[in-house]
Amino acid sequence: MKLTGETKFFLGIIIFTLFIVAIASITLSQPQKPLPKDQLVSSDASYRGPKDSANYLVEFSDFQCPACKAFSDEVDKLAIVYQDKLLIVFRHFPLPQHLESKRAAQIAESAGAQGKFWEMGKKLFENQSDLSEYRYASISSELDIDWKKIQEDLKSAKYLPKIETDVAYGNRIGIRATPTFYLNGIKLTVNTPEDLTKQVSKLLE
Amino acid sequence: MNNHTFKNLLINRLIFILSIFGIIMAIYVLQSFLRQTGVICLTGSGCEMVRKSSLSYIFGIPIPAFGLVGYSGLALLSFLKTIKLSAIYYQLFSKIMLGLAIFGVSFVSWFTYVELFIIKGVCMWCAISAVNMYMIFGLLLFSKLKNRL
Repeated sequence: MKLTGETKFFLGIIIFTLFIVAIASITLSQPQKPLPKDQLVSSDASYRGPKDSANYLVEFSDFQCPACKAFSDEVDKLAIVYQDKLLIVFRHFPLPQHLESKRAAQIAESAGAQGKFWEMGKKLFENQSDLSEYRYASISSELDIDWKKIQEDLKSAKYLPKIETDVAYGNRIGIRATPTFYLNGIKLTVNTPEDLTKQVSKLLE
Repeated sequence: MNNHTFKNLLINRLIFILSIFGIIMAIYVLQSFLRQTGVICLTGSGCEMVRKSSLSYIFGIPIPAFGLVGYSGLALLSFLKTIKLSAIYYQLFSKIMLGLAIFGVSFVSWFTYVELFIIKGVCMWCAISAVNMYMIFGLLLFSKLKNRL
């Protein structure tokens, strides 16, 4: 077998490619650096659990995302089981294809100002396929929340900058889907709600 | 070197480079399937939707693994065509490459349909890979027709 000039040219490309792949592999296999807590846990974000806890779980979520709904029960369970040692933080990441999610996020924030963020959030997830003005009003009435106040907040877009700040931060740290979880600053790889519980339990027990 | 040989040489080079490009893409996406991590995606959450879909696995094998095998085969064969071999082997390699490319375009077309109408999310890398495979197929077809004339 005789190597032609063309064969040598191809071999050069192969060697160059292997070199690039090797560098990329080394870069990708570097352990993830935890994100700073003061940035991930924004001061105005809704939270459950002890605020000064060393262990914190941050969720970027969208009230119209079916996967977020599937994970929400598991997050609620974690909030009960680890209520003394885990800080759970909710940050908004309404996806553009979910047309009602930004409004839902504002309603949750407005309900939060009346002390019922988590209750409203739970109801929004439960009714995510049927979110409308009528539904928001009925949920508010059910939770004994002042609907008129929420309407005022919506009209003035009082909480929109907060939601947009969350989205901008999410984009900056590379969030591309919801829900995305960070446990003690490290992005989690979770496919099922059970995966989330397993990873949190592994750290805390 | 006559014009005809030069064209064949150029086409083989292009196919080799496109196959290498396909291999790099397939490795990048495959690692995200194996490590369950995200990839850079300009089509919003499309890549994540596709990665998390059960339709992105055939008999438990992630789709990019098929791409990796296909592109590696094409790259290997185009490489072997540069070695001085008898005309029979050259013809045989060309036929196998065309066969691989036909399978490749059928595969990417089917998966693009699955993405658009079943998963309802488009993965940027799958779309680029589909265009890449169509280009390889086009070049092989062009080369085959030219050599017939």
